[in-house]
Amino acid sequence: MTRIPELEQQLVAAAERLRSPRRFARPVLRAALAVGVGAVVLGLAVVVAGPDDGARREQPAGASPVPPTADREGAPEPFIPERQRIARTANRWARNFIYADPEDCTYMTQPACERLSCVRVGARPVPNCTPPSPAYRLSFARERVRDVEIRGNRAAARFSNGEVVELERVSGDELDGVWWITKWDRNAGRGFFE
Amino acid sequence: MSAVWDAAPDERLLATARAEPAAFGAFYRRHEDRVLGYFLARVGDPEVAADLMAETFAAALASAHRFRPRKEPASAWLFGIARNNLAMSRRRGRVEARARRRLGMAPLVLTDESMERIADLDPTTLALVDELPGDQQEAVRARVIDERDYADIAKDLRCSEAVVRKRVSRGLGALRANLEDK
Repeated sequence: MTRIPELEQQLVAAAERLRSPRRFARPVLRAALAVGVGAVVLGLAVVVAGPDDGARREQPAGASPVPPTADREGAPEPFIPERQRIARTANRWARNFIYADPEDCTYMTQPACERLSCVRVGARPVPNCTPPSPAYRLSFARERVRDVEIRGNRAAARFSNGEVVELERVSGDELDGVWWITKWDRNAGRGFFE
Repeated sequence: MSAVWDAAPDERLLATARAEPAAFGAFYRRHEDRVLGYFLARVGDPEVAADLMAETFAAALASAHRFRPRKEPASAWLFGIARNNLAMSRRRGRVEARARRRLGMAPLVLTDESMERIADLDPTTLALVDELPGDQQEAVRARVIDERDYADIAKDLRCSEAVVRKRVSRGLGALRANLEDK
């Protein structure tokens, strides 16, 4: 007899589920789906780009509309212009943000994440911190990035609801840099779109 | 539950955990007390300790297929997961539940009987470890409770293996003396 037999039962049941054939089929289905989505995206890109793709690839400097980028998790990633990379990161972040999971720090720097959970490393509370209200979180539902403004290693992305988030290039350069959200509250992006 | 697996080595239990769920049950039974004791000594609360243990074993099950036998025992791998889990939970200010969510496990609700059995786990020795001086405490915990090897501990504590051995030896001596006093 173990001390917590109910936990042993749960673990054995979880191991059973891992063994089930559905589990084996899932990665195959996922891979097939990724290939399918990749093919569709590639086809669309060829049709949309046309013969003068090179001229359209980078958008002009300054705040300009950014077409919403499709998420293609699992598909091989071709070169993506910096503005679209920023827009994509912000769009994905917004999708996570509305689900209100304070544990999920994806696409955020550590300070931005601490500001979300109001807890610092070592379980210390962040002083004068108020977690975002559900209404504020939900204001990002179905919103997409419309404008992106880049200034060196910093950038701001404005959503269709007018909310602005600030980002920072955390690695790489203009060609393959990775951008993360550094500010997402009302103070984010000050001076970027004025 | 299957007693067949109770005699199998840890490495085999982990290698077959996904094919034979009972094997992971045996792995859990074998390490339950030590993992629970590890968390109890650090958080003090039986329910939090049980929650941390549930997450640790769930993470172990989820990554059992990636486990590769090494020089260290499989328990060192398990305690590595436990340490990470504790550190991550402290950082976040709440017990992690990702592995359990991924495996579709329901939140752990302890029965009164389970709570009693957890309370029976004698924390005397573990409490005495807390009374040791800081350097000895760290060394004894790492060596005796977590079963890590001296070289690994020395690297962590930034000192030589000889110093770690001396600290463990002194710490165990002090523990023995304290237990005799009680």
